[in-house]
Amino acid sequence: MNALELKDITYTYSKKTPFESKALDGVNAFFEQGKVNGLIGHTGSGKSTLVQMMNGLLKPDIGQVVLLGKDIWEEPKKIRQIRFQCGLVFQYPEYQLFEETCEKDIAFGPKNMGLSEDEIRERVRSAAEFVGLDSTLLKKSPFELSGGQKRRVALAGVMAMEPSVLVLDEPAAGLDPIGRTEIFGGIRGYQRAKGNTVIIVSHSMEDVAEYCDNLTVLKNGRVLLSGSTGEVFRHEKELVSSGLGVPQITRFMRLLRERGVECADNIYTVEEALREVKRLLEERRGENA
Amino acid sequence: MLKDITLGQFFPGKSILHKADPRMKIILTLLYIVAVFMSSSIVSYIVTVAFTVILAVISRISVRVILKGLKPLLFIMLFTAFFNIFWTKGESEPLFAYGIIKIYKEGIIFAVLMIVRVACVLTGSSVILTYTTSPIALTDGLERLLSPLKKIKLPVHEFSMMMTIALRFIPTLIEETDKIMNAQKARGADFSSGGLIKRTKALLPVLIPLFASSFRRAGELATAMECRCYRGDKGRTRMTQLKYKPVDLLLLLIMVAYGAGVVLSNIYLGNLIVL
Repeated sequence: MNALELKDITYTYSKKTPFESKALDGVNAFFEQGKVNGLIGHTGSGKSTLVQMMNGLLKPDIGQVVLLGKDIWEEPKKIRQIRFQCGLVFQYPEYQLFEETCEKDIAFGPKNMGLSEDEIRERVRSAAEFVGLDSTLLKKSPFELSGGQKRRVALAGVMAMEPSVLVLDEPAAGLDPIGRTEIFGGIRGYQRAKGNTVIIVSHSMEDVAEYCDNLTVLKNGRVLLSGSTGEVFRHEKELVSSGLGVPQITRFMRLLRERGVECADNIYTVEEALREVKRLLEERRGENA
Repeated sequence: MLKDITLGQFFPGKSILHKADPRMKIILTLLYIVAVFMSSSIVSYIVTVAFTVILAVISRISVRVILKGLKPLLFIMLFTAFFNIFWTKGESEPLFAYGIIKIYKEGIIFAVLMIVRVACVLTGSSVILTYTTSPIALTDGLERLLSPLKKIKLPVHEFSMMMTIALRFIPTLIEETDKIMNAQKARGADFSSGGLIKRTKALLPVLIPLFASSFRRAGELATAMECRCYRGDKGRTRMTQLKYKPVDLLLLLIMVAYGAGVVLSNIYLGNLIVL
């Protein structure tokens, strides 16, 4: 089943001015329920525009956005409810923090939903736990925290609404490797605990290979490829031509194969590669013995 | 929503007005405004309207953009026109009288001319200057025009640098505001319902991050400028040297001809059509 379907979406910025530019041109995409879906594309391919379609911040010129089986623009007055069902974390979300304490900031979304005090407290606690923020940090002002911590507070602010579909635009942009693992670990923890759908926008092939079940590739406002992560990474040529590529380790394994090593061709993460290399070494040892 | 502000926005193009020297365009705008306000007869008004339309046409700015620029001031124009209708006393019999309210023919004519005048000034000056001159060229031109004032120790360069920076960051701030508003909307913030107090309060989640990032950006910009050894005006050279071209002289002559037309028609044709 699909949690979110985009049907034939077209969108143009600054219509009828010299700055007119077509951002999306007939995008058809679907995002599977309960899975981690990746959305990848080169800068300017329309990812960020598409993301704002998903929760109704932008309205497509043509086309339909179907969330949990319902067209979100059926009742334009209830678009605010859609935003609670489809939570969106923007790029560099740390710049949206405003409250006196992190706790209050995370509570902003749930408060807008009109939840009870107890429910809000519970949600803030569990969201903070997913992203690994302890209670001393929660009492601090968000302006005192480090970049990575701020990012996690902002992420928790959207997670606390417990949206059926959680959309993240470049969640790890500009973070160090530890920050990346923490953020993605938090997202994965949330997804596993709630069984909700997650959509991650990224242009790091390593990240999507490690965390995403399915991938959709955008190029110049159109869908170039879509399918499971493994399927999509088989199209190395198309990916390279659209300014992307495959994970470095996948390329490495391909080069190994070209040199006559008989390793599998579906390796996308370093961990998988390690296992494969071990397997090969053991095989050889067996042959030699 | 926030991107709809077009007054004072630059539209790139290749018309004569785009190519002219910014210093000349500032002078032309001043001449133009003076001439429009000197118009006092029907004939000179016709000349003014015709001239403004010609300017708009040669600038190749679309009619839609020009009308959109006038829209925010429509209310003020109608408001002043409204008062002119009621407050102007004429010599002839009032056209309409009810108690102390008297409307004279002169009042109506005055109100209409007032609207025409304001609309012309707005359209003309934005077509000559703001729509066709990039903000950087504009402040550069202004600095050069005012540079004689440096002799009396006025910090002309610093003012124009401040203006350049301010203008440069308007689009950035608009974009940033848009982004933060969207981010808060995504968390269910509601900016469009409720009373005045509720709406003002709803803006807090936008204003606080906006201020925070403005301060951050100002600090970063200052550091970046220091890193490139910016030390103010003294000893500073320029990459683009402004030079007057034949086009500028042509435009100046046209503008002078228009001004002369207005003055002459005021003097000689003022009574041709009696109001």
